[in-house]
Amino acid sequence: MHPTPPPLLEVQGLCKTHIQARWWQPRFCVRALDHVNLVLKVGNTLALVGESGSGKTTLAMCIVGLERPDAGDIRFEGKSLLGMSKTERNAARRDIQLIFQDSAGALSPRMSAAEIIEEPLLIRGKWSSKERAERVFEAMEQVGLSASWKDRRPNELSGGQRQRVAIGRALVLKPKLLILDEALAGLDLSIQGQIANLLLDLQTSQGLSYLFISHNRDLVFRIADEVAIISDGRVIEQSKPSGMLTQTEHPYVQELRPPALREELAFDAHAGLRDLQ
Amino acid sequence: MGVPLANVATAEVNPTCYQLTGDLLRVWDLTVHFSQEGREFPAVNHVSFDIASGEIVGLLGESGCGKTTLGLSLLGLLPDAARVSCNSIFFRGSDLCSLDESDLRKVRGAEVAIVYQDSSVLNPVIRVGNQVSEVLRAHRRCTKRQAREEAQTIFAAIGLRDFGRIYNSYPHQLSGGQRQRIAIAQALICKPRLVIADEPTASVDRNTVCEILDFIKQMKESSGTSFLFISHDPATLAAVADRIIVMYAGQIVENGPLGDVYLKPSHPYTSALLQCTPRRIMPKDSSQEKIRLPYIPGRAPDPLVVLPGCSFSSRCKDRMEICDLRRPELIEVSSSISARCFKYEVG
Amino acid sequence: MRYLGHRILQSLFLLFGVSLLSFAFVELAPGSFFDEIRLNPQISSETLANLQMQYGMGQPLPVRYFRWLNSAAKGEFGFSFAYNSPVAPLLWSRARNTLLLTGLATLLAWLVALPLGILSAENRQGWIDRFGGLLTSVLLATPDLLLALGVLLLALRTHWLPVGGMLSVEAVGHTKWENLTSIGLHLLGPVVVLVLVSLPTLTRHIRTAMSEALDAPYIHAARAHGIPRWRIVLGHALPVAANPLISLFGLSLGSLLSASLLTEVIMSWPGLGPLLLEAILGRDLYVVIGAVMCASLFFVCGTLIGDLLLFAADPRIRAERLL
Repeated sequence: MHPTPPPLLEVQGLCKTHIQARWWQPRFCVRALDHVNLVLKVGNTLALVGESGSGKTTLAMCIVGLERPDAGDIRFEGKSLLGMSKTERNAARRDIQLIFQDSAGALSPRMSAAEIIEEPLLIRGKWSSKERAERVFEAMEQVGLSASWKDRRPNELSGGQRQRVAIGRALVLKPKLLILDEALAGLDLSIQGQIANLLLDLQTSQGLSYLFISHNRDLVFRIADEVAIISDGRVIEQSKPSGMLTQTEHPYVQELRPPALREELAFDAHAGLRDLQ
Repeated sequence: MGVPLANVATAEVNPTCYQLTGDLLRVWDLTVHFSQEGREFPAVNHVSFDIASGEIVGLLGESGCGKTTLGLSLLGLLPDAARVSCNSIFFRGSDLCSLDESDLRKVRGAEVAIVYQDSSVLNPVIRVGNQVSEVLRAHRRCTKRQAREEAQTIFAAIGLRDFGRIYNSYPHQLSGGQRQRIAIAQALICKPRLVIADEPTASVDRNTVCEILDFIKQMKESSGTSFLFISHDPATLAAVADRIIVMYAGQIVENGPLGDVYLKPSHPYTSALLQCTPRRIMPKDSSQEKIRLPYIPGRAPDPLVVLPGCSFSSRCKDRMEICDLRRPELIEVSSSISARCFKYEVG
Repeated sequence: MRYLGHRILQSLFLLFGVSLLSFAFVELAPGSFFDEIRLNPQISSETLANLQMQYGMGQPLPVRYFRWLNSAAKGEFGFSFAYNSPVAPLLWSRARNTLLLTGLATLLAWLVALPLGILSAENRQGWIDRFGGLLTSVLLATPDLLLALGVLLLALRTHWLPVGGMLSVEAVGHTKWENLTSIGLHLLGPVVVLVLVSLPTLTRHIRTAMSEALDAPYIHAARAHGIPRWRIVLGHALPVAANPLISLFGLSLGSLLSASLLTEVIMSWPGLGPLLLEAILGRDLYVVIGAVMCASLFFVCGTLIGDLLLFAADPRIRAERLL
């Protein structure tokens, strides 16, 4: 009987308070994260749903290491990220990559697509130039960018293509966990579908796991294996989407059960969808 | 069933135009050319449509289809590099096409206003309240105090609480949702008859989206303001629009009431686009398999390449032989719906 | 307030450092004031040695530095060998003249450059832009020396402007009003040169800053709201462009004492420039140090004022500084 492997990512009791201090005003504390607990299993997609200001981005920053939490623990593959030494943490960081929403802002406008994808390899510094070129080519193929696009600058690419470059850049280090912070927001519907399918294919072929942060409930309920709802820095619930749609009684979750908004009601009415859920 | 109608204003048959009945805005044969690599291409290609008073028209299309360009061209706000040619843009008795810059300036903001998509439409070094009241003072003679009072009314209507603090704030001190509301307040303070809203809910969170959409509906009901609501998301438009105009590759491909277009789309592109809305799909159940989202295969056509046939034919499920030979005209499918497709052409 | 205190402390350190460095450099330069006297066979070596003792030349450098500091605290800033008087009043009378010249020139330069730059940016590729571009290119390419000599030549040949000095020779008997007009006429030459020298850089900077500001999305939005064009340029774009321009203005202020050296020497304007040159050539140690300190003080104050103005004008800087 094999012991079950530990979950890929486990967040326990994470707390983070932002302090805004102006010398003529009293200290103003914002509790961004309040004892947050999350579990992400290998090969799964965990969606984190919440409004702006609920703490989703702060959580992503803490996991990636761009911010340090005040209390709590983040365990990656069973080992605590916060307790690691610097070298161990660097190695772990390679396995966790972050993709933002605003790809135009996240990609350097002066670099070509190939250079952008190559950059993490240069920073980590362990590959020869031939190996790097191979990896870049491989990454571009995986994300569906033809080799002829490699010299294009971000401003010559469409929104969907830029997101592909951002994903390619994240993939080139062969990570295990990808954190997508509103990565599909703002894209045209057709492109959204294509990128979502691309992520799905990558998950199957590379065994990737995703932490998908979004406020788009419709999208999230359809592509995630599990959904965690975060509000005011607390994770109210984490479970499978189907369970969430039928069972819980928490008022916030009640509201999440579609159709809850008049616009969605309207869409369903007009589009002829009746009580799907 | 489908017959191209003669245009009422002229005796000759104009196959690209159907009867324009809207009393507020009538755009007839508008084309906008841009140049790239020395060649010209039409970003907006012989577009005609109308808007009635108190009507919210949703302009639906993907990025690059020309919807923003269309919106901007109505007020002459395109860069000098764009070449606009149109037959007429009739708005409340005057032809916007023929107005010069100073007359257009009087129309902008006061009669027809634009709400931009970009979140940085507020000047970072001027207080937000002044930016709003300045719009009023540019069109009407009133004191600073009166302008401030008007601003107060509109701030309250649009859901901005804590007026005193917000009026004197700078943009960087406000949240994204608040900034978007200020941008809307700027557009509405002169009580224009028509508001062109370019993706106003794209970069704000859900709660703000609901409030903004409610506000738009309320403006329509109470003041009879019409909206041209530009968006790429059908679900958002479903909440507010009375009528939907679908654009593809610079042309109008479908035009009809919301319910009819969404329930039974006439043009293959519209139905393909609606299929991509996540809500259309059954959400994940407890079984293990993952859901693949639908998408429209292929890519939007390169505007520099002029194809002889329909611009959607390469991606169309209902493609016929004639689709690659000729360009379809906009045809009346029923009394209120028109579509640009050979499926409805008779004879 | 904390910001201001910080900057003032920084400036004091800077001035201290400048004084140390200038002292050291002047000392390291070969030659001393007494070399000229030494060449004179009539003065014996004992007199020379006595003179040197009197002026404290024999003592080691740090001691002399501290004596100078002492003198600075008393307000004298050392002693001039050539003029046989404390340095401070000497500097002051000359600095006054320089300030008159450069103050006027800076004001005029900005008054011309601002509209030129704004109009160029507002109507890019229009005739003002092209003309302005041509003018600034020509002026940039011409060395300051040539410009000064050119104006001088013009004045000499045409007799439109008096040449040299601040007042004409017959000044003594004239009324105040006539003296003032005389000063004005004498000012004209050097002011024209200084304005021509500083105009191109100023105009280009203003044009660039305004162009960038005018391309911003909020300017397009303001146009869409029907706000009149000139209100947009002056009321919306200029405040945003003011950010780099205020820094530039601080620099202008700061170089009030130092920018005009060449012009003053050539046009014989009795300012700080000729005094400094004379003192350097004659190794009049304390005058040199005094003049350098004066110019540095001005520079530091000018940039400080520029930063403070920026702080007051741009709310974003206020927000990030105070956090």
